[in-house]
Amino acid sequence: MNSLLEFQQVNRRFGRSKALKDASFRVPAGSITALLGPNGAGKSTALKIALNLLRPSSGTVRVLGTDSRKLGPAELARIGYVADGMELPEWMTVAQFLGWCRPLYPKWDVDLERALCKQFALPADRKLRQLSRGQKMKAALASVLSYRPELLVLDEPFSGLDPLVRDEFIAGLLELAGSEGFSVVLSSHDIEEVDRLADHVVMLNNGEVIIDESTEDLLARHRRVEVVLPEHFGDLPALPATWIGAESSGRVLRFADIAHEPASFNEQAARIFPGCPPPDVQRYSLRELFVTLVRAGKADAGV
Amino acid sequence: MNFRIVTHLLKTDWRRLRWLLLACWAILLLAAWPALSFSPGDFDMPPSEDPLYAHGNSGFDDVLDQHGLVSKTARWSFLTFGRMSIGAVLLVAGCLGFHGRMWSEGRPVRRRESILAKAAGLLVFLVLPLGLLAFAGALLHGVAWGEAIGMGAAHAGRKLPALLGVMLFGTYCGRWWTWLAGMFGMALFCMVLPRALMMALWPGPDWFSNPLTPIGESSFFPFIQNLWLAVILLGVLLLRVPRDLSGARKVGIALVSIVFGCQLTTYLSMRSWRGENPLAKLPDWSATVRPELETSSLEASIDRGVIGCGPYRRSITSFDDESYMNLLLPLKPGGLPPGSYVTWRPEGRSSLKAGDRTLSQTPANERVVGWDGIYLGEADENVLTAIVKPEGGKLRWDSPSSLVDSRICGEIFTPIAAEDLSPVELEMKLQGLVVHLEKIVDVPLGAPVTVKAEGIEFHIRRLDLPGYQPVADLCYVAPGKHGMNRLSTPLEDWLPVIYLPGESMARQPWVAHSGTMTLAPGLNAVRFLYHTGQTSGGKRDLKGYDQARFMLVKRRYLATAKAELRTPPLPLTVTHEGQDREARSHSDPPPFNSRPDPATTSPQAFEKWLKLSYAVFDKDWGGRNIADYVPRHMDRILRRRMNLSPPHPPEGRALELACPENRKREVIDALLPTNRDPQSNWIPDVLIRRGWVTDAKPEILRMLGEDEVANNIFTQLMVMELEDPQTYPALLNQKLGFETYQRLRLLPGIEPRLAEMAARTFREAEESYADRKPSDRIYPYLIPASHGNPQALARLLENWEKIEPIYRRTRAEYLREVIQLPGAPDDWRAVLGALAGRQVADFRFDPLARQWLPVTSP
Repeated sequence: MNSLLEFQQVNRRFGRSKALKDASFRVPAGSITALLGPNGAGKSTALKIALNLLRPSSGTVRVLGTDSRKLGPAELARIGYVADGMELPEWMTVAQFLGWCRPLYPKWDVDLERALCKQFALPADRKLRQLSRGQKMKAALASVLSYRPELLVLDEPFSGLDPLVRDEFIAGLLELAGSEGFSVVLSSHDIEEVDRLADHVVMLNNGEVIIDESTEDLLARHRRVEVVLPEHFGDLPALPATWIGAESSGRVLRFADIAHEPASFNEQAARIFPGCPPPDVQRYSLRELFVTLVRAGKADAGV
Repeated sequence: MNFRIVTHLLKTDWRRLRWLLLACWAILLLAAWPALSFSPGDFDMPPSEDPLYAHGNSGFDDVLDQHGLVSKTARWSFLTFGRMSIGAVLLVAGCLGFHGRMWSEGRPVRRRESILAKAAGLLVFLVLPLGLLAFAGALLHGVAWGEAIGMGAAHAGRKLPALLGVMLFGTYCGRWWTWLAGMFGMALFCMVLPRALMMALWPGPDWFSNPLTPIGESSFFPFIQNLWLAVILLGVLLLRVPRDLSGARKVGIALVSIVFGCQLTTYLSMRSWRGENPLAKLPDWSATVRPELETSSLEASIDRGVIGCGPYRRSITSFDDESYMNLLLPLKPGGLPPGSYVTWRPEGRSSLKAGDRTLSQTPANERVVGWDGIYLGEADENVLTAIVKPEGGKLRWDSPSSLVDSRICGEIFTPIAAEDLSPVELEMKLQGLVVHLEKIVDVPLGAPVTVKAEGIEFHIRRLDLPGYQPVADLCYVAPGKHGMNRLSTPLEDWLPVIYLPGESMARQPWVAHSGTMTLAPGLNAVRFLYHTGQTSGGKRDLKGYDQARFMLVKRRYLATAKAELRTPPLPLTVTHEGQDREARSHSDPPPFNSRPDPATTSPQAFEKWLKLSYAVFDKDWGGRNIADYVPRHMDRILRRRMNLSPPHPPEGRALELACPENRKREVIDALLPTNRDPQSNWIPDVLIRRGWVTDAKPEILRMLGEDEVANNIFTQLMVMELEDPQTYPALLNQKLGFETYQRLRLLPGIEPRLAEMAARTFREAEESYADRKPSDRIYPYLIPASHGNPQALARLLENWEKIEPIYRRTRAEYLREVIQLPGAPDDWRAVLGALAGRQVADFRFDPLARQWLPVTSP
C-alpha cells in the first residue's frame, strides 16, 4: 500500500529534550491513521514536522512523496490541516472565512463548501469569534475539506468538544472520508474516540514509535487469555516470550498473547497447562490493548 | 511568487484594519493641519513637540496665552493630535503584524508571499501616507516638486525601520496583549530605564544611552542603525523562537536581545566615534593670519580659580580648587578681511622659560576641550559695533551680552616662584579661528515688516505686552535646522541685535520664547520672541524705542590658522588678586625687620614682600610698608592690578607718599593702561592726592572720549578736578553718588544743566527702588531733593517715617544734608522729633543754601 506520509528515523530536539527519537512510521493511502500516545509523546511535533511547521533535527519525512522541508503551495493545496486551538481570523464571518480560503486553493469546490456548511450546520453570517469551540472546529474542517485534500491532518481535533459534537464530528469525518476517499491522520490521546475511527494505528511513547500497524492486524495479533488452573497445579512453568503481562488471581491466570496464532496457541496451551480446561481467548479493544501494553511495561501510563 | 495571493493577503489586511487605518489617517491629517495651513506672516504658530522654553521670565508663556499669541486650544490640540498620531501609527504597524503567520499555517501560501504582502501593507497603509503628508507640506510651502518628492521620500525612509520593527514585533508577539506588554517593556527598557540609570550614574559613560531613542544627531548616536539592528534581530527571533512559546518568554527574549544588541552597537560605535570636526573643512590661513604680541612685558595674576579672558576660556572647574597663574596676552591680528576677527586659543602646553630652564607650564590636569568648545556664542565687540553702527562713534552695549575682545588671549600656568620673576621667554602654540560677521537684516522694530535675506523670508514685528519691554517677534520658514540656536551648517549662525540709535545703545536680545514646527522633513517654521530689555521696578522704559531697529548678523567661520609664539626675554609681573586666599589668610602684619633692603632688593624679593604686605587690610599700613620701595620698583607697583572697587590698594598710598615729583609722568602714563578695568583703576586717586590731575588732562580727555569712567568715584572726582566745561556732558551722563553730586554742583557754569540730571535721577529712583525697603529708598532721592524737587522730599519724609530703627542714625546724617534740622550732627533723635508728622508743605526750598528749610518750627 502506498504511503502518503512517511517518517524515517526522525529526531527532533527542543534544547536538551528529545521530542522524537528515531521515529519511523507511515500513513497508508486511504487510511484513517491514529497517532496515539500520552501527553508529551511527540504527536503534535510529528504532525508539525509533517507540515513543515517545524523542521526535523535529523531523519526524513515524506509527505505526498515530497520531502517535508520542501513542501510548497502545490503540496499544501493537497493537504488539509486542522489543529486544536489553531488561530482563526475571528473578525471574519464563516462565509468571509471560507471566502478568504477559497482563492488559495485551485480545486476549491463551492458546492462541497455549501454541502459542508449545511452538514455541519454552520451559520454563514456569524463571526468566528461568536461561534462555540465545536463550531469553530467544524468551520476549520469545512475550510480544509472544501478543496478535497488528499491528506487530512488533524491534531487533537476532539480536544474540548462535548460528546455530542464529538460524535457529530466523527460521523461527518467518517462519511466524508468514505465518500471522498481522502486519507486522514489524526493525533489524539483519547483512544476510545479513535477506536471507532482509525484503521491504522501509530503509538508513540516518549517520542519513540512502539506500534505502527493497521488496527485490524494489531487487534488480530493480540488476544487476552484467561486460564483456570486445577487445584494443586503447582508452580507455573515458564511462559513463551509472546505471552506477556501474566497475572494470577486465585486459580485464574490472565495474560496477553501478542503474536496470536490459534493452532500454535492451542498446542502450546495444552503443553503448558496440562489437564486444564481450554483457555478463554478474547479480542482486545484498542483501549484495552493500550492499557495492557502499558501495564506490561511497553508504554507509559497516561492514557 | 503568486501576486494574486499577495494581493489577496493585502486586501485581507485592508478589510481587517480599514476602520483603524481611516482613523489613523484622519489623526495624521489633523496633527499635520497646523503645519499644512501655516503661514509665517500670520505670526500664529502652534508650538511643536519640540521642547518649549522661556528664558528670562518663566511666566512668558502665560502672557502669550493671555494675548492670544499662542492660543491654549491650538497648543493643546496640536500637542494632543501630535501624540495621538504617533500612537495611531505604531498601533497600525503592530496590528499589521498580528496573525501574520497564524492564519496561513498549513495553507498554500509561500513565506515570501506573506512577507511581501505585509511589507506592501506597511508601505501602502503607513509609509506612503506619511511620505505624502511630508510631500504635501513641502509643496504647500513653496518647495519645488522634485525637492518635495525627495523630502517625502526621505521622511518615509526615516520612518520605515521603526515601523517595520514594530510590525515585526507584532508578528513575533502574535497577539494584542503580548504586543502591548512588549511595547510597554520596550519603552521601559529602551527609554525610561536607561535615562533613569544615566541620571543616577551621571556623568556615566557616554555610550550608556537609551538605544532606541534618538538623542542629538542620529549620526552621533547610532539611532537609525540600532533600529535596523532591532529589525534584523526580530527577523531572526521570528525564525528561531518557537511560536508556541509563552508571550512573557517571547517578550523577554526580544527585550533582552534588542537592549543588549543595541547597547553593544552603541558602545562599539561610541568607542570608534571620533567626531566630525567641521572646522577641519575650513581653509588654513596660517600663512596670512599671524598673531603678534602687542606688549613689551608679561602680566600674570594668581587667583584661587583662573579663567581666561577674551574669546578663549578654560573651565574653572577643572582646576581642583588650586591656585594657578593666568596670563593675558594682547595679540595684534593681521591679514584679516573686513568685518572679520580671529580668536586665538592656546594649543597644547605653553611654557615660560628662562634660557633652557622651564619655569612654568600649562597645568597637565587641564581638561581637554573638544572642537565644539570653540562655539561659545560670542562675537567680537569691536567688529560687531562697526557692523551695527558703521558711521562710527561710540556705541554702548547694554548687558546682558556675550561680546568679547578677541585681541586678548588667556593662558594658564602653574604658579611661578617669586625668586624666578626674572625676564622670561614665552613659548606657546596657538590655534585660531577666523570669524566673519555680516549684517543680513536691518529693519525698524515696530509694525510687521517682511524682509528677504539669505533666501529666507523673515517676518519681524514689535510686540508690546504690559509689564515687559517691547518684544521682538521673528518668524520664518527655513530649510534644515536653520535657526539662531541651531546652526544650519556647523559653520554659520545668526546673532540678533537690537539697536537704539537715539541712545547710541545696542543689545543682544535674549530668547523669551521659541517654537519650531516641522512643516515637512527638513523644512521648519521657526518663531522667536526676544526680550529687548528688562523693565525696572515693573515699569517699561520706551526711551529710544521709536527708532529701534532689529538686526540679524550672520556669523560665519571662515578659516583656521595655526601659529607659534616665541618671545624674547620679557619682564614678568605677577599680581596676587584681591581675593588671594593664601595672602588674605594671614591676619598679622609681617615683622618690619624681616623686610628686604629697599635700596638693594631684587624684584623677586620685593614681590614676595609685596605679597606679605597684602596680609593686612590696613591700606595705610600697607602703603607705608611699600613706600620705601617706590624709587627702586615703581614700574612694578604701577603694573599691579586690583579687583577692588572702590580701589584702595596699598600701592596707591605708597605712590602718594613716596613718588618723586620728577617721576609723575610714569604715574600719568599708567592711567590709561590701568583703566582696562575702569572700576578698579586706582591711579586717579593718586593723581588727585598729588595734585597731578591737570598734568594728566590729555589722558583724562581720552578716557572720556572712550566713555570709560563709569562707576569709579575717583575717576569722576579726577575729571571734576579739571573744571573744564567740555567734560560736563560726560559727567552729567554718569551715575553719581550723592557725595560726587555735591562736588559736581560746585563746578563753574554747570548749574543750569543739573536740572535734567536731577530729574533723571528721580525717575530712576522711582522705577528702580519702588519695591525696596524704606532704608534703601533714602539715598536715591537725595540728589533730586537737594535740587529742590518736592516729590523727592515727599519720598524722603515718607520713607523716614517707615524706616527701620537700626538705620536711623546713618540715614539721619543724609537728611541733614538736604533738610535744615536742629541738633548736633550725630543727634538722630533730634531728626526724628523734627520730622515727626511733617509734610512737604512744612518746608520751603532755599536755592542758595540748597536745602529745605522748615516754614514753621517743628
